[in-house]
Amino acid sequence: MDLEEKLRILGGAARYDVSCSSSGVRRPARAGKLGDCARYGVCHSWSDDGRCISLLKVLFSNHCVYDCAYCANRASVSRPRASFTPRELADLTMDFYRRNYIEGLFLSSAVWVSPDYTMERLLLTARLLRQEEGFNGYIHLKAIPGASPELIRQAGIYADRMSVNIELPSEGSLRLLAPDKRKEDILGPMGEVAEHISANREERKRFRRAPAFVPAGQSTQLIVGATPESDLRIVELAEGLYRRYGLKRVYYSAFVPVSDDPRLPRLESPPLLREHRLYQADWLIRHYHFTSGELLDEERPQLDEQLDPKSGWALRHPEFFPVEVNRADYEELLRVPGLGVRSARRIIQARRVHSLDFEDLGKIGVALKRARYFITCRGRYYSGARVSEEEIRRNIGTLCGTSRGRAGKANQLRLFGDDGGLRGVEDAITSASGEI
Amino acid sequence: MGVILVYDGGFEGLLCALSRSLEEGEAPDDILPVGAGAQGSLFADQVVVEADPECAMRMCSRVCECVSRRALRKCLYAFLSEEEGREVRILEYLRLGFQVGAEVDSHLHRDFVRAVRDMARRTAHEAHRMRGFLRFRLLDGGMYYAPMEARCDVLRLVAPHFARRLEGQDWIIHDLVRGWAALCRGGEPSFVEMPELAVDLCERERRVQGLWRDYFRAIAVAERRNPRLQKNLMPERYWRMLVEIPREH
Ligand code: SF4
Repeated sequence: MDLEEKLRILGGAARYDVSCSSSGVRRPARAGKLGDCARYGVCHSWSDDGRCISLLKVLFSNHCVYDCAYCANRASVSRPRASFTPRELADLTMDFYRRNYIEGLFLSSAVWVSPDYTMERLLLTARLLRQEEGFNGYIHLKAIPGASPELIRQAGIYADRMSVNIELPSEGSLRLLAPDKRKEDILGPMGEVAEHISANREERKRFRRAPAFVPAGQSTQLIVGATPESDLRIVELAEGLYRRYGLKRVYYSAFVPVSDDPRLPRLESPPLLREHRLYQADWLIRHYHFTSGELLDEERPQLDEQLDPKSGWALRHPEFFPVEVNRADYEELLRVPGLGVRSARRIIQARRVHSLDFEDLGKIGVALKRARYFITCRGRYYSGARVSEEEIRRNIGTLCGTSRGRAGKANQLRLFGDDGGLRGVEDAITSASGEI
Repeated sequence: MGVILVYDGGFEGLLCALSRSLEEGEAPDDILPVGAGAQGSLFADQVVVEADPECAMRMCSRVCECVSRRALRKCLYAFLSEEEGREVRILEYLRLGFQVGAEVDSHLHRDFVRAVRDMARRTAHEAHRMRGFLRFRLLDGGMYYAPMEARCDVLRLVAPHFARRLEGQDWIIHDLVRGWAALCRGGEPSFVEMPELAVDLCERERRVQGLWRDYFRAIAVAERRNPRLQKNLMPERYWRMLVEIPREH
């Protein structure tokens, strides 16, 4: 099989992995090596589904001995199979990198022969790139569930980021849909990587030249909509992963039906809007210090599809508002619907020299579409009067109409953008950030 | 009768023009690059300001000391945005800067502070895009060649990035819009005029490009197809620089 065919099969097979981030590590260029890494990461292209391409994201092999129901590569289906060699992958990575197509390699794999055999192939590829080719760009490696700790430790020496995909948000679902994988096979490697990372951090405090272990941290991915877990369960799980394992990112992937296995739900289209709301909730937890308990509870275990989670929280907490923009601290500003990091910083910067009114806010580029219901400027509400909750709900109730007759097509819905203009949910969806 | 200051079109020249109007204390009607002001005005004299490297250097250190390094950088980036009217905005920004010091950036309620910030941001953004969108093609003879069509004059900003990262690789970044290029054969990049260049791709190049296109198509999830989002993030004006071409085309 020629390389073109392999790339089509194994690139295509990797497309359901959401992560393509190349950020989180800064590694200056070094003499005799090719490449560097910028902390902010670089996107090189955007594919037809609007997702950023930053890394060459491929499976090493799609031969699989396991049989997970939700997966297109499971053992029981017949489909074209292929495997790279470490040499082929190293050459591809170097060729693409030299042409500025990519920031580096994201290498994952199906479980070919056995977890250890597969993990070894990934390790060999990374070692070839780092040691023989002198590649100094970004490498993201999958930790294969069930692989031995020693292989995972070695891989972490070459990788900037590692990830183990949890995929299914509960043990019960895992048992049902991925019978070959045990919970420990997934959490084991994740725990080991987490331990090595924190040990390495201590070591580097004492010896600054000690080599870094997985400096950009770990991430994982959860499939949304293939199994019955509520948003509450999912958000709690993510929160726990951030706390207990120090994960850098949890990605959410709207379930795309790839088989007619009777254990799987029938969906007309992937639940993109739900995925989008989860990213928003995740963003609130990571950047704005919200807790899962503030966003969801047993009485309301699902995120409101009609309203972004911050607006939802704000409407449930009228006692927190209004927030006076000339006095509120940064954290308080961040809790205002419609204000994000950038707006909050601008407000704080501008008010140092000038007391702000609504007109000033507009001028410095703060969108008032949603925020105006929750703030005061010099003690005054926007256009003088307070409005009722229903009215707020109606006005920001972010969705302002669905295109009839195309049921289920979440990306036909329209949203108010932060800039106050209309924009498609589609523009926010699939950006995998959830920034609000 | 007002004056219009005419400078040579470069950043150094602009600094000299700015220095002069700040010293004189009288605001010029306009500051224009040579050539742009040819139509002249009945009500203003045109005064040509010579670019003087020493004067420009002095101005730089004054801005750094009395305002901030950040402000100087902002002025440079705003200048590189090539937006019409940027010179006078920069002048107003610096004039306030010399009054209030580093705090000038907080005066966002003033139009020109915002204007300078926005122009600077546009340039920075464009430079960042180029770091992503440039595509090098391997030519016969071992040189890597990347054509560039950027909206702002970012060549000097992006060249050092590639000099660091593509160690041991010879390359040219060709700014097709402005007719010049950065050239790097190890070490520091140099800058040369380059109106046009006929290039011959090497044999292997076509194969690698084909592989990249294969990958580009394979990685998209059909069920999530979203050309509008794709275009927002990767505007069509850059597609000619790319090797991969989005589906519709
Ligand atoms: S282990 Fe499961 S999810 Fe992974 S490739 Fe094999 S079948 Fe698919």
